[in-house]
Amino acid sequence: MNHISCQDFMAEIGNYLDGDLAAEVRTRLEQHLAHCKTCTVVCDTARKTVRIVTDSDSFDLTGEALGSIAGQIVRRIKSSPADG
Amino acid sequence: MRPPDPASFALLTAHWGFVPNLFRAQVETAWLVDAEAALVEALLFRPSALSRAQKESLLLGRAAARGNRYWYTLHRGVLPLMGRAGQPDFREPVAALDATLVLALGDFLCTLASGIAPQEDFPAVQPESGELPVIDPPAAPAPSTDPEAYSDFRDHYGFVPRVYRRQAARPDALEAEARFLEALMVEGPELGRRRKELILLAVAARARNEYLCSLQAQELAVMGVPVETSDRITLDPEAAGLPESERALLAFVRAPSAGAAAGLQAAGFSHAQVMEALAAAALGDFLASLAAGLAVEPDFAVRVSFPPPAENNLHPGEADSRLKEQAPESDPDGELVDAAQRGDLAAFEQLVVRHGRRVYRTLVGILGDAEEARDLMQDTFLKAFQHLGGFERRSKFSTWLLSIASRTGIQHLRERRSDESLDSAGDDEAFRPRQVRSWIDDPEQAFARAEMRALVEKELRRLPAKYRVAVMLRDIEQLSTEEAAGALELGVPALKARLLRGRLMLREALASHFAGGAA
Repeated sequence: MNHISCQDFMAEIGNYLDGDLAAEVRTRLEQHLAHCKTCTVVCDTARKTVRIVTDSDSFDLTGEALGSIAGQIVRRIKSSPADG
Repeated sequence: MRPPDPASFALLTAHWGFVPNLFRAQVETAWLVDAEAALVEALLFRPSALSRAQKESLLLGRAAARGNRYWYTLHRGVLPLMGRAGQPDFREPVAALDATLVLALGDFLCTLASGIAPQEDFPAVQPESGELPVIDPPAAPAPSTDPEAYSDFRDHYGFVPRVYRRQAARPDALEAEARFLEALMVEGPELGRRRKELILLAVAARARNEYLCSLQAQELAVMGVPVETSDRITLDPEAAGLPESERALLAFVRAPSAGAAAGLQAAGFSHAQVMEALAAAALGDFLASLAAGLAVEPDFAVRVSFPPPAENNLHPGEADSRLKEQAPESDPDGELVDAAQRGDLAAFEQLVVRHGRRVYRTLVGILGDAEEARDLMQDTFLKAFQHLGGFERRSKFSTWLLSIASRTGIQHLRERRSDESLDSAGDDEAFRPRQVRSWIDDPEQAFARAEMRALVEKELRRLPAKYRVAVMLRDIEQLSTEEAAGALELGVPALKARLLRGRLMLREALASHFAGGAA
């Protein structure tokens, strides 16, 4: 089986993180990881990054803010001409 | 065999500086070269609302989106000679119609190139993932007098289909389209009309275009093909009970390639027949692209619907399509949308509450500014309410809504500053990780939750908009790749490329906070 390069690995890392790969490609990437410490670190820290970003719940709107905005939207609809 | 018409080669040379190999490769069917060149002349070379450079730039984007190396290389090669493209204002209906026509021409040309695979005219350049501008379907003002071409369409179809009526502001384009239709579908000497209409149907089905499928089913019905047969062809041409030769023909036009063209010749079709079939496929893609770009309402009842691709299905195919009578794709918002369409404001308010955060994050993703995002959130929902009557459930309500949000955000970004854009420049350049130290095991423990959130928000704001919005929709809003791509009106590969770049840039930014030991 052909060995893949770090560049090949980086080209597929997005699909690897999302589990969006055929089994055969996944196996080859994992064979690369088994002997490449740099790609292992990049992959591990990229996975942590995704987890941190997802868990951060960044740019959330509070329920109160959302309700207030929804009320404003409905008031603007009511005050605008019917044909928009 | 007729020699090539020197006039059309001269025309191409006059406007491109050379005769592209795509047309040279068709010299044996010179009449086709003439017909194609006339269409190119009308839609690309002729002065109109957009400059030539702007049109070439749109064609480059279309070739990129289609992954078509031949046309990508050609437009990349000629663009520097055309001067500065500038950003057109696609809110102008004339510019939007012009752009929609040019993009449809791009589809037409890409399909031809797929089936011919000509040698590139410049050193070949692999297409970079592309993004096309957001173009709202232009309004169609009722013409004071009918364009002359309407009588040609009445002769051809028995009426004037809406896909042409919507182009009333460009009578010259309509004339060119009518001439091409006549030259290929009626006068084209190689395949019978019925076969070419079948090709249009098969291509419409491949493009998942309900408008063109319903129009073609009607055309074929007039020619004696039962609508049930058209339904079966739409769902799966292989299982429609067609003769072997027609199955082979439809298989070719659904996935044209030079190899498939050679296979069709091996199956007994002449080279000229294959070229005519390919031109019909290109016409099908042209019409499907126009119908989609102009958001044309079907002329006839839609018999086969194409719901949006299932989640995580990267290869949507005909398996997703279904007869209209079968259970429609369920949309969790269906009942509220029904009520809101009847004018129930309380139902609409519930939709705002249900989807407000997603809309907000889409806008923050594009604009990087929470306050602007709140303002534009209102504009987004007002637009959605105004256009709710036209929402036809071809996608889920949430996807439709987010596409309005992203268009609104992109428009605002354009108006606000010139240094940020969501265009595709640079997406494909390899990103080389610089931080290669491993991180502490549990980075979440290093900061309090609020601090972590502030840190992530700060770094997200620093990302270029196109990467930020991909990360926000995918990793924070947790949309599927297809949903995020749909919301941003990008292809899945373009979305994936941006998401990866955004994640890796964030990784670099966060590394200084979490790095533990050496790699």
